[in-house]
Amino acid sequence: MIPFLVGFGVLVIAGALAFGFSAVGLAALAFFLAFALSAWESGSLLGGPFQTGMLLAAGLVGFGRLYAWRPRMAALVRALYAAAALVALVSLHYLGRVAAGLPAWLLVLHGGSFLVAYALLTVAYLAAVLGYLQHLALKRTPWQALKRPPLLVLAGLELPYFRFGYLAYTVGLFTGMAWAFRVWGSPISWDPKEVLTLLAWSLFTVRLLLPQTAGPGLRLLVWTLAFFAMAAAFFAAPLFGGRHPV
Amino acid sequence: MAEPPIQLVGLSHKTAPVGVRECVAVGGDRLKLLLKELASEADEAVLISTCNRSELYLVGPRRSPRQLYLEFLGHYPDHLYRHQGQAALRHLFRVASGLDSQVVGEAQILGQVREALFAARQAKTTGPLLEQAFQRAIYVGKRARSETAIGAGAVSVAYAAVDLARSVFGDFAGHTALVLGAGEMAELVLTHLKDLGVRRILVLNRTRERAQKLAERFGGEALGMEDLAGALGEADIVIASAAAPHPIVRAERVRQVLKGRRRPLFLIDIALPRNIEPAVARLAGAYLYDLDALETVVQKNLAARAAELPRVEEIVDQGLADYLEWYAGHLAKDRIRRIEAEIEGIVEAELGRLLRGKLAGLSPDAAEALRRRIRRMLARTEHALIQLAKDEAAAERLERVFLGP
Repeated sequence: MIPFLVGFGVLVIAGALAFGFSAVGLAALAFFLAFALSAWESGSLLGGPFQTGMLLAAGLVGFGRLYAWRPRMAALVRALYAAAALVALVSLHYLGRVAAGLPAWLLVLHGGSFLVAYALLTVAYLAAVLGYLQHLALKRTPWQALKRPPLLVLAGLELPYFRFGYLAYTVGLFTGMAWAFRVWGSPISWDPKEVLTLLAWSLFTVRLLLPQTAGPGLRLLVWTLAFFAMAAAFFAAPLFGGRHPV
Repeated sequence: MAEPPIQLVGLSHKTAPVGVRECVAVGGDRLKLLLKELASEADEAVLISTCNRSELYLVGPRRSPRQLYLEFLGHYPDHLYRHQGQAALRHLFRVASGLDSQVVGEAQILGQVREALFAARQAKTTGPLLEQAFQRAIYVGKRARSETAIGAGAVSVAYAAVDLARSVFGDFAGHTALVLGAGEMAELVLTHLKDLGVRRILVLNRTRERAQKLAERFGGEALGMEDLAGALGEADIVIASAAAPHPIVRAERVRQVLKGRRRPLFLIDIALPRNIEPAVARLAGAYLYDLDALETVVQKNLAARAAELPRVEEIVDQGLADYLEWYAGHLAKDRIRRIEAEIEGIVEAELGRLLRGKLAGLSPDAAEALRRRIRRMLARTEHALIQLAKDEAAAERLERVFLGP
C-alpha cells in the first residue's frame, strides 16, 4: 500500500510537470498518508528517513502550491515539485528501516527541527539556484530573463527561508549533540551522519557569513556544498552504519 | 457559393508614406460626419482610421468603392488597395489580430477596430454583414492574443528597458529611479516606471533649472551634478541620457556604491555617446543595458512573435470559416422561411381535409393532439432542412420541389 501511495504521488507530480495537472495537492496527501501508514505499522514516529522524507516531500509540494498562482514563479514551483518527487522516490529505499521511537522532547526538538530545516533550506537553495540563473541571464541573455522569476523576488525568498532553516538546523544539531552526550558520553563521534551534519552546518555558517561582495558564483558554490552535505547526511549516511540510529 | 458582398478599399503603412496617411486619417466629429454622408452611398459602411491605416468597408455601394474613397477621404489613387468578398474579410481579421500592423502583434489595433464598429453603429451605417464581420474580427483578435504569444514581449526600446527592470525587481513599489539628463527616451521610460509605481524619482542635470522642470512633471526631486555620488547610492534604477562627451558614471564609483548595499543596481544607458562606463556591466550587483542591448531584446521578442504567425493565421482561417458558415445561414434564411411556410401550408391543408373527411368524428382534444404531434415531427426535420438550404444547389432543388419551378 505504501509504495502504491508514493508511486501515485510521484505520478501526480509528473502529470503536473508535464501537462500542468493542477490537483497536485493529491500528491501531498498521498505522501502524508504514506507517512502516517508507516508510523502506524512500525509504531515509531519519525523513526527513519522514509517518514521524514514523506513529510518533506509533502511539505515541498505545499510550498510549491503557495507560489503556484504567480505565473512568473512557475520555474520555482516546478523545481519544488520535482524536488518533492525526487525526495519521495529516494525515501522509498528506506521503507522498513525504522529505529526505535525517540523521547517526545527529542522528537520535537531534534527530529522536528531537522525536518523543518530540510524543507526551508531546500526552498532557499532552489531559490538561490534560480536566482543565480536569473543573474546569468540578465548579464548574458537578457531576453531570456523576462520569463523567469525576478531576481529580487528570489533573493527575498532565499534569505528568510535560509535564515529560519539555518536556525532550525542549529537547534536540531545541538539538541542531538546534547542527547548523544547524555546517552553515549560524547556529543560527536566519527559516525558518518554526525560528521556530515556538522560539515553541512559549518558550510551553512560560512554561507551565512559570506559578505555580499563575495560574488554570486562563490555564494552559490558554498550553498551547493552545504546543501549536498545536508542531503548526504540525510540520505547517504545511514547506508554506512554508525552509532546514530537510521 | 456566392462570396459575401463586402468590399474594402484603403491604404496603410504598407502602401503609403506617413505624409499621405496623416492626410486621409479621420477621427472624432469628422468621422461622424463622414459616416453620415456615406449612409446614403452604401447599404453598410465602416471606416477604420488610425495613424497607420484608413480602410473603408462597404456593402452594397451605389458607386465604385474606389471612387467613394477618393471623394470622401482623399485623392491618393496610387496608394490604394482593394479587396472584396473573402479577401476583404481575411484582411479585416488579419488587421484585428495584429498581423498586418507595422509592429506585428501590437495591441492598440484591436481597440481601434472596436471603436470603428461603435462609430458606425452610432451613425447607423452597420448592417448584418459588417456587424457580424467586425464582431468576429474582434473575437479573432482576442483569441490571437490570448491563445498565442503574438503580443508578448516588449517591442520598443523603452518598454524593453522597463521589462528588464521588472526582471530584476519584480515590481517597482518602494524603489527609487534616478534620471541623468533629460532626453526624450528617458522621459518615456520614466513615464512607464512612474505608471508602474516607482516611489521616488531623482532628476539630475548639469543645469538645475532643466532638472527642476522634469522633476516637477513627474513629482520628483531635482539635483545638480555634484549630487551624483549620493544619488547613485539611493537609486535602484538609473536612466542615463545626458548629452556628455565622456562617461559620467565610472565603474569605480558604482563599485563603491555596491559595496555598502545588498540590493542590485539597474542601469539603462540610452545616451550617445554613452554616459556609463561599459566596465560597470562586469560588476556583480550591477545590470547595465545600453541601446544595443535593448535593441537585441526587442529583436528577440519580434522573432518570438514571428514564430507565432502560423498559429495566428490558423485562428484567422477559423474566423473566416465561421463567418462563411454564418453567411450561408444568413443567405438561406429567406429561402428557409419560404420553404417552411410552404410545407406548413401543405400539412395544414392535408390535415384539414383529413379532419373534415375520414377523421371527422375526432374530438377537438384528439384533433389538437394530432396537430401537435405533426408539428413536432416537422420541427425534427427543420435542422436538416436548414443545413440543406445552406447549400445553394440543394436549396434550389428544395425550392423547386416545394415552391414549383
